[in-house]
Amino acid sequence: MVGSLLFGGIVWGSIAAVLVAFGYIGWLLVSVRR
Amino acid sequence: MVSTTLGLGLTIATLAVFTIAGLSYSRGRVGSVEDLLTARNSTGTGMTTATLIASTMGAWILFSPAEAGAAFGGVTAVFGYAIGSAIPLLLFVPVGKRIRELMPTGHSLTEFVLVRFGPVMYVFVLIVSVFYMFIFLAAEMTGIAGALELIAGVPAWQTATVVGAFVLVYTAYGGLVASIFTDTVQTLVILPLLAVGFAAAVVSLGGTGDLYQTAMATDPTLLDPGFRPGLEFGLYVVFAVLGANMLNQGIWQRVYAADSESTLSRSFSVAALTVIPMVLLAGLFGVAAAGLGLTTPETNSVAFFLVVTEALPDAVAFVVVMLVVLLVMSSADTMLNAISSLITVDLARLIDVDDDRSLRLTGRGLTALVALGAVIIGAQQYSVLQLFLTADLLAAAVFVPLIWGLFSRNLTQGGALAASLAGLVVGIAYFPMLRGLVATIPGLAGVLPEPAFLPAFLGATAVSAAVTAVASAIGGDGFAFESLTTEIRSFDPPGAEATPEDGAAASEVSD
Repeated sequence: MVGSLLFGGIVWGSIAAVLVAFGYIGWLLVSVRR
Repeated sequence: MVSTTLGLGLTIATLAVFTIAGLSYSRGRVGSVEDLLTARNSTGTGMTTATLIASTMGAWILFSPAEAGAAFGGVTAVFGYAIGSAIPLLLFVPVGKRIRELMPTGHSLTEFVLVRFGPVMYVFVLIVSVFYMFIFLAAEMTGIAGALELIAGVPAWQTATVVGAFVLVYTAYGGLVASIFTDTVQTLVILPLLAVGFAAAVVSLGGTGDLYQTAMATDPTLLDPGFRPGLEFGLYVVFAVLGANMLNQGIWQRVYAADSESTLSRSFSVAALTVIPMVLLAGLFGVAAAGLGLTTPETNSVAFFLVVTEALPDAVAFVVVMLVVLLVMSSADTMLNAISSLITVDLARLIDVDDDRSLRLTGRGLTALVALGAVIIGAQQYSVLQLFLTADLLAAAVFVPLIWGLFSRNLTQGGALAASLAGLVVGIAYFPMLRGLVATIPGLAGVLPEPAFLPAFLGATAVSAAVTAVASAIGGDGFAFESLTTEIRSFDPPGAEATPEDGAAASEVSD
């Protein structure tokens, strides 16, 4: 059970981290242009 | 399976869009050979971060980490790969700052090696660096050709030719400026595509709970964090990736492209944090493939694509085709420009090609030659794993004295060479892939140790580091770092503004 939750956390956490990186880089690009 | 026409059509459409974008953006911005190869002090944090991610994360992330997850030690191996991919980027923060401080008008690590150590070490490093980058490029071509053959039945030669031709067009014309711009846009497409594509794939496969249960039932070691082969793989891959990245001219170009030291620090750090979940996700697909029983020893290297073709709907496969094309484009343009940059910079020093126009033409000609070579190799569908690991081993033995020489005045060319060669001897003695070749040397077959990757990579790096430390302690005359600023110069004449080809003013890349 714990292993399954951990595995799920790694997968969905990684997906979320990639999206956060996308948002951050996008923000960096947009904020400097302003 | 996606139809061949649809797969090839989507590939060409993606290539065309980014080629037009690269050409349009670089028009009027490439005024000199410096713009073509260096784009010095021109990119802000957003662009530098994006181009680092795009350049280092090629299609290989869909092959090697998944293969590691399926065959080399499950989740532990995948974690090692992810961390190993991030460490070099973090090391570039102090090292990159140092090289910018020592040679503010420099272009490459090999330039530094020539002035700091001398011609013998320089030739050695140049060969290892070009070899590694060419293998990277050929591996990308091989990867996309194989992936499209598997997903859409596109013949390998068609894919390799089309990808090579499009990337060559905008890289030869727009150089580093085009590469950085397209990298930025590609990263902004790759990241959400990767996240959404993977999320859709996980849902299609029944969710993480189902995947976990299936993998546990098939092979519990896939999910065992203490699994020894996985730990060993995780450790040696760190050294393999570290050395190789330190000799990657594409990353050194971006060290110089960053508009300040704070941009360099922040961009390399954010890129390092971003590549960890990217490699993790790709690698976990290998674990899923093995858990679902889709892999065999012959198909471990395409574990990721087996899941895509055999377990996922066509819509997800469609997304994956686009993802592969973008990943390949973003690193192939970097490698193409990096190799031609290295050779052009050195050519300018070795032969009498001193006017800017001739250098620019030479740089573009070399880019075309390198692309042609990579396309030919990519279309053959060789297994490039052996070449990749060999290039990694060479780099693991060589990079320590180079980095040491950035900070220590006392390491001589003799010391650096001795360290590299000692590292190589130890590495090759253990290296499984060269075992047959080395054993043919009379008298060696009986004394060679048991072959294994961990002692090969760890030994190459550790011995090289130890000899470097001893050689540095024994000391030389004390190198004058100040001479780097006088001996390494920009190609632009002092105080001169380059004249852009298209009449517009040469300008910064962006932000």
